[in-house]
Amino acid sequence: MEIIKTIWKKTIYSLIVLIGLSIITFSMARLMPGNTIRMALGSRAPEWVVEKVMKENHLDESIYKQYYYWFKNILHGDLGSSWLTGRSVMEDIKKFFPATLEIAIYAIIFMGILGLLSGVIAGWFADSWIDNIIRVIAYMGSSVPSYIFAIFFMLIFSYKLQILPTIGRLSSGVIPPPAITHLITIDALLAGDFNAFFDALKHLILPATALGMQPGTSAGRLIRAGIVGNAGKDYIIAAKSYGIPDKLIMLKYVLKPSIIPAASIFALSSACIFVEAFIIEGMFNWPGFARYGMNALLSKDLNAISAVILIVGILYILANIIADLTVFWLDPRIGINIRSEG
Amino acid sequence: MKKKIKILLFICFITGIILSFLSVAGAADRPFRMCDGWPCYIDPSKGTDSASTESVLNLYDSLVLPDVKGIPQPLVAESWEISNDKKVWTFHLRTGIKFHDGTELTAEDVKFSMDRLTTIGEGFAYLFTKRVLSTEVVDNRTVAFHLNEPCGPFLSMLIRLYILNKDLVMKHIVKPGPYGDMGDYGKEWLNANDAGSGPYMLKEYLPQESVTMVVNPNYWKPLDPNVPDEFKIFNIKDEVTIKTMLANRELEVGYAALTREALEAMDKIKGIDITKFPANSMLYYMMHTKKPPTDDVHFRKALAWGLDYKTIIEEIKIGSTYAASPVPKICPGYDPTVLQYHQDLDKAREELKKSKYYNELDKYPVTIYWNANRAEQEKITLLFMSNMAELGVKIISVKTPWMKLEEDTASIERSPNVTTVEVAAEYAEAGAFLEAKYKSDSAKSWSQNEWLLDPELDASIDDAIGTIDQKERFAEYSKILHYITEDLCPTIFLCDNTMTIPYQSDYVDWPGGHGIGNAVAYYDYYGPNIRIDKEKMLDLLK
Amino acid sequence: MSKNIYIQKKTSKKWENIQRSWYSFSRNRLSVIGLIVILLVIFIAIFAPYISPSPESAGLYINFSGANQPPSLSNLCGTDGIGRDVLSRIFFGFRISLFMVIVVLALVAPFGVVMGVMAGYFHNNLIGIIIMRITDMLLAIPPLLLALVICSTLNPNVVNAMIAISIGWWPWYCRLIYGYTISIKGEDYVRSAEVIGASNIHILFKEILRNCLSPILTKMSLDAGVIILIASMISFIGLGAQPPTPDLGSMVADGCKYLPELWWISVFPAFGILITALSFNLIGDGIGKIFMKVRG
Repeated sequence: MEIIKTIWKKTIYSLIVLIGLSIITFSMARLMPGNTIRMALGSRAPEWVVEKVMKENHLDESIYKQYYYWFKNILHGDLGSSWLTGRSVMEDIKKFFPATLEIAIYAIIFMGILGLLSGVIAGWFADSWIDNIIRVIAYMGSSVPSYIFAIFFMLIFSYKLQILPTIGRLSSGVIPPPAITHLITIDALLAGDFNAFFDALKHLILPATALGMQPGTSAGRLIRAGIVGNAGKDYIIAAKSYGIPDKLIMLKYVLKPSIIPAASIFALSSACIFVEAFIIEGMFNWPGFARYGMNALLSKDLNAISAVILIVGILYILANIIADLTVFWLDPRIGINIRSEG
Repeated sequence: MKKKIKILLFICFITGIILSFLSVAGAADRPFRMCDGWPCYIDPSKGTDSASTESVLNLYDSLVLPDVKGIPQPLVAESWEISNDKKVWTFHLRTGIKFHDGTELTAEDVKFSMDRLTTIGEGFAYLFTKRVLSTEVVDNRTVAFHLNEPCGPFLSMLIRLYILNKDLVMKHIVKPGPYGDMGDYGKEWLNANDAGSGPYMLKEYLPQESVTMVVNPNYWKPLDPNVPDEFKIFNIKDEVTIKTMLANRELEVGYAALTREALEAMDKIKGIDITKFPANSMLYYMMHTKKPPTDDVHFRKALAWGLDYKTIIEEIKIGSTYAASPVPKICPGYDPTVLQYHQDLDKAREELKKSKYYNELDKYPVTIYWNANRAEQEKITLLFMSNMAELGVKIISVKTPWMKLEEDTASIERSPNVTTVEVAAEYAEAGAFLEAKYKSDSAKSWSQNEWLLDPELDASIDDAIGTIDQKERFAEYSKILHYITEDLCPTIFLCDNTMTIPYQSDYVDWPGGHGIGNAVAYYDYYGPNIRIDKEKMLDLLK
Repeated sequence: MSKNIYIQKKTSKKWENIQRSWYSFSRNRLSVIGLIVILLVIFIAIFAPYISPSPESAGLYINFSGANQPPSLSNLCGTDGIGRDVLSRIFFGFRISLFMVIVVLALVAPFGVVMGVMAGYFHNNLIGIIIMRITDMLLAIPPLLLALVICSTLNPNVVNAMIAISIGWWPWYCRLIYGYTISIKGEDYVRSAEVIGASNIHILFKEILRNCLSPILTKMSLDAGVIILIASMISFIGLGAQPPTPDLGSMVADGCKYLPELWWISVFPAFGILITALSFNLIGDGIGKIFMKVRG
């Protein structure tokens, strides 16, 4: 019950933060210099057209009024329309978000496996040559930005070896499965269409791996440090002296507390993927949310920018809450508020 | 038992993966895939950028179609006359032209398209909004445009009037909308649908991703059997991706604005060639004539004499040619007698001495904007900076994303001293450049940063365009071109653009591949002019 | 008299602590390597105009005839598309990267720490609440996104990129220190300082800060690595340093178009980013270990 009460309190609190955030981003977007409507209509559009469209979008009124209209619309689920795509922003997001979500899910799975495996193996063989090699690779991996990985992967696997496809979510001849979750791999499995499933998987490998390398190796480093730190603790030595097998000790007693520092970084990195992905999506022509947001940012598509920042904010807050919960689950002694404050 | 199931699943998984690598993805018989930027509006009343126009000219027909030189030939219109007072143009339409939904194209549709374009006011509307007073449906096959003054190149301009299916659009208008009775004029529906009669039909429109069109089997004009049956435009501009796709035969034609190094790398791939054809566009350094120090004509001339054009043409924009005047050489109306600036540092210093900023060069730096998406512009900017350093002129270089450039050039205060932009002709005549670049009403657009705001010049451009007789019109153009280049010098003409595009030379045959450039921008990608050799393509894929 | 002894003890203890810290730091081979590399990088950055083979390459220099040359004896890392020596540009690029890191951290750490301490100490007052709310709002956006939004509003250059990153970064320090301040607030030595009659400010900055030094330093060195990566992403889209300023991120971004044929244009600068970020990470790990060990 305590947990539920705390989560509830946090949610309300986060909502207030979110509203404050929306005010900040809204004002930033609207106060940026220049007339975005003129750009939307084409530079040779006559004045009267520009004025008409400005009136339609309430852009000629004060910023408080604009915020009021925007907020009112959000409560109805209307995020305004994007002049870049010509559709409502809500529709755009419904279309683009699942694509990025799919990459993010696979990237997170990859990050988790990479982090756990490298961390545990390095920790198990601490200070041996295996440990040193893994540490060096992990250090290098966590110091390289994701786009460099993406370029190298694309050059090696698509260009030189030609075993993985270059762009898009599906190859051109493959029919996408009926959209239930809009995540192609899940939809394909639900429809029993294994051809589409494996094709989509092939397309996902490069972007997801490129995005997951850097956070995964960082997590691995932290887990290894945690294992090495915890392995010398008193209760572990006690367990060993009781004759409990080493492997069991490692997996049951040492692992849990070691993951704690990694868990919060992991959660936040996962949320950051939704932003970082814009370069990767550009390269792989992935119809994703991050690229949409980046284009909106560069072309001052006001409604889209505000919506994207809001959604990323929500994701980030969610990630924080999940991180808190995970830490609490891993070590209930810590208590749910220690990571952040009230 | 559990272990056995696990092993079984594992084997299935591996088999599935192996099988998926072996399966060949099915593709169209004769695909034509190219890449360009975004946005891409398939609504003919909306966009003027490259991707939009490339899609629209394949999906829709206009009254006239440019041939490879850019001269309008009859398409939907069979013949036409001009009235005695030169203000009414009457067109006689062909019979038997069907829209993609099977209905016949009549004069009503032409009137609807013109009204829609001028009412919405976006895209190419600016060519017609001030000129066309009204459109009259004389009978089912005849339509007349009433102009407010004579307009010589009107026929060339009509290339950009794409004809929509009135009944189909009216079925999909959404009310209430900003256009009164017409609701939203079908804007929402036309965002992702086509209402045209062109040689291609829309198959799929994925915003920010791609546009796919398939050939129209019932096109009223017989098409060559080797015309591409699928025309796809991808939103990709990244060199590494394009190179990979060309090598894997996933693209037929690459992006036009690639760097010299990227092109050299692509040339090395088997089956890929780089074609060069002249484009009806130029690269300009537009100088702000109302902002110091570029408000002084001698200062501007000094900059024009100081730039090293030779290096640009030989080392940076390889394949481009010397520019000599405000319009490129393939543009009808070009005048070869106009003064050609070349690098002459002595003349530059002379002009600099005559300018009023001569002793205060440090206090008046020149700000130059260039497009972050164009890598060769960086090289040109650096070249410019080092050339000007020899003269003692200080340059501040600002690398901007295209949007910011467009935005800042819309205001006379925020415009920088020099802007680097490529301008292409919307219709194939010198008048297009003059209107886009030097008339007052285009001052706020990205195609003009000179801010001339000169009513006399406006009037002479209008007079020239109003001359119906082509020879006389070109003579008037000539006078204006001389005046602009030699007296005003508001622009530095860097070079005439050449499109250098990588393409699959083994199986793609298109006029661009033979070095023929269409004077009307983007018509190089007109589907019916392209041929795909299916056998050769399958050979390559093996 | 007693006061003198107190001071004496403090100084010798401090020196002992430093010696002890250095000893445990040096036990860790990788961290020492990191330290050496960073010192090397700093040395290169400071003396770049004297040790680079072609210092004019970092400025306005064009040499199209010598462009795109592979690595050779005269150009150890080859030349780029404008004929400039890549190695020299990397040396000068280190300057910009280090400059950004130092300035951002120098702005962010003190400001964030001070805010955190104030928010923690006045945690039940209005001041504390306001500070923490602002922190939370800024924390709700990933720093990369905030930096991108701010950069796209302002004119693109190095200074604005630094401002953008700083605005998004200080809340992390604030929150970290806030947590520690709250937990330390009830400790005996703080109370005892209050009892002696030490002023509020004395308490804040001496006792609380001194004990939080370890996580601050660790975080700073780990952050240095991330800041370099974020700066490189900002430069990648063109919102950071302007040409011809040599900035490692922009060099990689410009060079990746020419992969894999002209690999040296992007690989060497990428390597530069790698070793800088890597060494900061190694140092950060080492520092973290010291304080873990010293704490016991």
